[in-house]
Amino acid sequence: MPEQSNDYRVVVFGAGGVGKSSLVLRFVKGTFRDTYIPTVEDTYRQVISCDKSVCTLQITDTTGSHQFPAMQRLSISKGHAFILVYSITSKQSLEELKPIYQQVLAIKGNVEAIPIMLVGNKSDETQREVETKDGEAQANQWKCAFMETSAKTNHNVTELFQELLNLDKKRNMSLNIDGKRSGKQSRAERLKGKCSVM
Amino acid sequence: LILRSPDSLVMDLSFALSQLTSLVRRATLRENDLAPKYEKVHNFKVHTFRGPHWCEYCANFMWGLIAQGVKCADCGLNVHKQCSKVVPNDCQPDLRHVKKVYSCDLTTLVKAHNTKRPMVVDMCIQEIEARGLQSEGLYRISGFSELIEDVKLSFDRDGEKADISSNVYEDINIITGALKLYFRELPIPIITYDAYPRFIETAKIADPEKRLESLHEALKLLPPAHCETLRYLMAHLKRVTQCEKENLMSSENLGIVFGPTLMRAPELDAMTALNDIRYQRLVVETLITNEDVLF
Repeated sequence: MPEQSNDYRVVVFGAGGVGKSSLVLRFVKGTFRDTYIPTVEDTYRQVISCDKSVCTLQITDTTGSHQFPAMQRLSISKGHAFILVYSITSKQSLEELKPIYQQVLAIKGNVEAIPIMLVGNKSDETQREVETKDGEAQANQWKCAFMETSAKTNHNVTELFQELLNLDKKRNMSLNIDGKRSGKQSRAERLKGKCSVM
Repeated sequence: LILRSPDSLVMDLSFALSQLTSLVRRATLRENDLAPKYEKVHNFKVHTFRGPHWCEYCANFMWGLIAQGVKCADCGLNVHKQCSKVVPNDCQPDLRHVKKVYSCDLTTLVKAHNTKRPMVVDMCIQEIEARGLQSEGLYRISGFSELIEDVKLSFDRDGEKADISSNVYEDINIITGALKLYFRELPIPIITYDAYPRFIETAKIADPEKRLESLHEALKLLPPAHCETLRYLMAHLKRVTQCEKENLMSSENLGIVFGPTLMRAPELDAMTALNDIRYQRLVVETLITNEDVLF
């Protein structure tokens, strides 16, 4: 398969303003900004371990404002795994995922082997419009995984990405880079420690 | 006269008729002082006429059995193929020929409906402003796509009689979505393919004074109906940014959202299109902030 390159591509979809960029930025940079800027399309990279070696996790953060249908099709056909985000404060944002899911289905054909995670973001908000069980029901219908997150309070964000990688049965992936790399890190820390003593 | 065959009499009659229709057409054109004086080229398509027909430009017979001449798909003018090259750009689209509102050429639509701007633009903007511009993420957050599709259908069906009040569509994001969809579905974008490179060039100019000047020049390349619609939209978006505290939509944010809606690269090369996105954003942002001096 030509797809077996060293990159593992995750695409994040969802309506405008549900927090796609916030989730990705929280995961990649560990930060949360309370700014309000629409995304055109951004791609982030993270090194992960895959089948006992390292590979690049490529996360594509897409636009929520329906601007580029052609780009959406391209991201779907290139993506390995998908995160479908809605906001628990907006029933409509969940509704809007339906055409996106249908498009993934249309392009990928069979979605059973493709890791898809339905995510209810902004779980810290109190003005809830979508109950957890509604999200679960939708996920059951789509035969995909489900999780509620909060990019603001950092609730379930790392778990989301780890869980998504676990869903891929063809590869054995982990966010932690085991073995050599952690050894290197600890050695670096030891050296650092010595430096500060000196 | 008695010796002439009935056939030629029929021919004479229909010749007189076609002369008459073109005369009537000219007359109504002159009468319509209300109509904005937008020039519009004819939309000629090769046509096979049934029965004898005479060119409405040179008044000579259109010879042949098939494809005798061309017919304007917007106003129904019948002329020789050769004559179509010299017919003045005075197409006055007829509602009988222009059936749709969405994905109809902008100038054709306004001429057919005898309005200054497409009624979709006027009606959506008036509705949005009447409901207030404070809604968070105005133009960013999208409404249900089925309902947006529904708005489009009712414009296509009812024209200016379409009901887009809050009784029918409660969510303001459906109206903003319908307006964005209108611009996206234009066969020729509001910033036309011809003018597109000039607009992108302006965004690459660093000096703000010079950029404004060249943007002002670029605007002159737009067909008048396009320019007028763009002016109206930009004045509206300026008012949207004045409520930025509530709706969080700065001119930069609106530029991101409207850039690809108002401008499309003529050639569909994915790489160039992607590179142009930030310039598109900048063009729209500059148009919004300087709306008052540019138009």
